[in-house]
Amino acid sequence: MSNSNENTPNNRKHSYGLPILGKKVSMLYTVEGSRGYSLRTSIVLRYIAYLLSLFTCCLFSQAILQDVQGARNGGRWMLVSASIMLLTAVYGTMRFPQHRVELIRQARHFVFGIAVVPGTVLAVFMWATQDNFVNQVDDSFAMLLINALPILYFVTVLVPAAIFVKTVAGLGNIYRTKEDDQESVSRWTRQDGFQP
Amino acid sequence: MESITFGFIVLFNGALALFETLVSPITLAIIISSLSFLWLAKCEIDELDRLGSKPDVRRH
Repeated sequence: MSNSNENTPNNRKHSYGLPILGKKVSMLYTVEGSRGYSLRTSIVLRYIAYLLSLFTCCLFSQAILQDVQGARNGGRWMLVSASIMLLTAVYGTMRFPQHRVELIRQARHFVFGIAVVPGTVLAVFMWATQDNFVNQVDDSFAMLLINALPILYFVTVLVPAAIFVKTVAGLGNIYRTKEDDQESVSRWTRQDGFQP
Repeated sequence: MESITFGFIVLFNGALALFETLVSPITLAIIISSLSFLWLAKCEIDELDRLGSKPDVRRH
């Protein structure tokens, strides 16, 4: 018969708040030393830098796209797209906790590597070349660029959000092996009955 | 009594102005992205904690 007062993992009382925080901090120092603090501080500072970079790129794009025909409010759309991707990443880390390291990496790649930084570069290009397109109605290449650049901006900044949402939403449906650990290990170590 | 009423009106107007400011899509996007980055940072720190600690099993 199990005693309800027994100190088993199921019966153990958990405490929260400042006492548990103090215990965690002292445990951290005991196990990892001062390096543990600096590692965690560097993560927090890195994410503050991400946030500031995102806002800076969006503000900069918004400022230089004000007068570009067909792409006004480009910076605002960039911010909306990034927030959709980040919110999807948060949902993904809650829904698929086993993939959260990879999800965070992918979210950073989509937000900064695909949408925000290339979008800002494209915005600079659009701003720098807009004066060359004035009164160029008879130049077919200039007309092509006038029409194509806002579409390219849209594809660069907004389409990755849709792709990322579809990627995260489909994580539960893509094919994965249905084997349990024992089956996997016996296959990886070739103890599967097919060895000579 | 009137001063209390006017005080409440000022408070309600302030709350309404704050609500109208916060409900704009851009402010919402700023709040969402900030909170999302906060959550992702917490996830990374959790992963670091998991790597740096041994499992706490008091009794089998």
